[in-house]
Amino acid sequence: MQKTVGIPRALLYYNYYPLWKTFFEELGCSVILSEKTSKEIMNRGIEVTVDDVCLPIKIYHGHIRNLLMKDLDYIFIPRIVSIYKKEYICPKFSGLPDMIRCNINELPTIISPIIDWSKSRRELTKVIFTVGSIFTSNPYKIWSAYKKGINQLKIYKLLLKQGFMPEDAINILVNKKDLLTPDFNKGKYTVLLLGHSYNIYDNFINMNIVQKLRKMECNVITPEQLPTEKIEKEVEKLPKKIFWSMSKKLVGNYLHYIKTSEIQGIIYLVSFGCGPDSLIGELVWKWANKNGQLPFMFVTLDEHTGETGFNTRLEAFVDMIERRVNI
Amino acid sequence: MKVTFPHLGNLYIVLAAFFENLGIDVVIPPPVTKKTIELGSMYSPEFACFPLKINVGNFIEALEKGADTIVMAGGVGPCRFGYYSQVQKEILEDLGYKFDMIIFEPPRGNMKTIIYEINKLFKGKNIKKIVKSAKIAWLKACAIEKIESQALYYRAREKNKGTTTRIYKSALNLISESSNEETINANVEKINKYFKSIELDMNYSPLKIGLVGEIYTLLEPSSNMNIENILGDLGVEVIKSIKLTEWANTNIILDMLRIRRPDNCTFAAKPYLNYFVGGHGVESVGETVIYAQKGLDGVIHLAPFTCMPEIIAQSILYKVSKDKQIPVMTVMLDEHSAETGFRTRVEAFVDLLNQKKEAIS
Repeated sequence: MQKTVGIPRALLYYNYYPLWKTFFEELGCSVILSEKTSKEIMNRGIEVTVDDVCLPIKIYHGHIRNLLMKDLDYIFIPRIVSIYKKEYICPKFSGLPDMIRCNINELPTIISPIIDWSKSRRELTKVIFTVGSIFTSNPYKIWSAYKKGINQLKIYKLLLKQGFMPEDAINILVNKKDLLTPDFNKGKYTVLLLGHSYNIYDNFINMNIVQKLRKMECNVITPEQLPTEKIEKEVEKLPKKIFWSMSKKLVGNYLHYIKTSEIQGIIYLVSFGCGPDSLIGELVWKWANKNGQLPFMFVTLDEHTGETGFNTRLEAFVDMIERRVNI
Repeated sequence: MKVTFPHLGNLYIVLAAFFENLGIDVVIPPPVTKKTIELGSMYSPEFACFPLKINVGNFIEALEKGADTIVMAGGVGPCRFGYYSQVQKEILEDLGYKFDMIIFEPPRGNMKTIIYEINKLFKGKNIKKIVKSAKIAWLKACAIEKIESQALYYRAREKNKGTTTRIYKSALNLISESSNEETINANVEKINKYFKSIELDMNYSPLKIGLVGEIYTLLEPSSNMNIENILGDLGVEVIKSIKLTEWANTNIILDMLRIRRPDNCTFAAKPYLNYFVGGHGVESVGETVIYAQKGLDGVIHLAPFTCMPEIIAQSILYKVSKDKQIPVMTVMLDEHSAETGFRTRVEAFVDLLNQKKEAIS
């Protein structure tokens, strides 16, 4: 019988889903995704978590509980500690499977490989085969599943670079549609939207910020659109290496775009209580203030953020851009 | 060159001894007061953790007193502490202060930069003298630690409330005034006698509460509203296992030699938290398990607001508390914490433990 694997539609789903999906499907599983983030999912997450964790983690708990309502054999909660050498994601990702185990009862078998490349990538093959061998004993099949997954991930990343949002990009991948030329970069102004992928791509958390900006004739650039080499080139100049991969990406984006005339404004989305961004966001904000060339807005999001207030801020921000451009 | 550094409990005595023996001028930041915390939180990022804010307050006050060099530790993540120095530097420079910042990164980082930083500080100093100063500083650190743990024991059992705290203060003064090995040793003897002279209530068996959590909030009394005194005055013996010398041992010396091994704590935490999460997250969980096995009456878990590793620990401690039948209270601290509310919570927790103890016996 076909085994089912549940994947929560939260956190690094936005970065790696095509890889995970292809890998499990090639091994003969059927992948079940949790529903799109909603108020109900959020509330179910808040019910089981402590007050102090950040909103994305609460929502992750909600997605896990949403998956539990489905018939699952396995649930995929990777422990993603570090993806690049001498860098980390965020401590909360290292403790995620443990938090889930302590907060939620009656879980199916958890598949929780440890992804820790902070020292080296030596363990990569081991991780692939340990996960793969749950489903098949054929090493060739496991390796080719991984290769296919990586290929899909590459195409996915290319789509993101063109400006597609993850949901659209995944749609294109899954339905094997032809690569369409993006039809959304037609606005008058361009805004750089900084923030972690699970904030800027989860339309519930960010209250549809991308669509709202596009409606107000703004093109949106996200951090995923800048090639890694360019990010590395910019962050090298910092006095101290930033050891959080995601924050490093944001800083690299800021430093790159601030020198070009491509953008007319910057919006920085953070979750309330985000550790890395409480420091890195402050640095970027200070730099932007000193630079003084571009409108910069810092938006803190949590479960209490009201949509009306958020809309007002967004409209005021776009108005400001409009006025500056028209002077 | 006038050197300053952030406050961390009684660490200032140790660092001042080290630099003064080397002939370097030291400006000890004024003791942390409400004003320090206010200054720090005014200029620091809103959601930065509490230690960063107190550090900034310390630096501002010390720079006002004439310091021109800040000595600070670094880190390699994932805890935010590793990036403190960069943010603090930026904040202070924006405020218009002129100063030099010497940052000691852990040896795991780049050896070259560490030697460069050390050079800045010890230019033209005799290596023998450096070793000698380090030795005196180490002796003082050990002496202070002994005083601290004695105070915890005696404060819970003393007959006349307040005696221990008085002796504790004068003992610290004695240590900070001692200038060489002999006087330190002599003073340690003297202090032992002082402590032994405290009148104790021999029939009283105090409640035992373990303190776990983030190292700064555990060691710096101004950040935890002096919880050791509050508990001690309620007749509770505080058990604490994060100690400065121990921390220095594992994090600096063993790390340099790369022989760091998983300890009891990591082992005890394993069923609940199976991976390194930065800071003292694993230690908080592990220590709670160990305290439960040792039969302590309860555990208080302290952390700065938004501290990432401790939030993970907090989520997991619920389960530990249930499984191991040990009451755990988490308190998140920041500049908005009010002492009265804090005291009430601690007193209520102690009351509960007392009732539980009575019910059992």
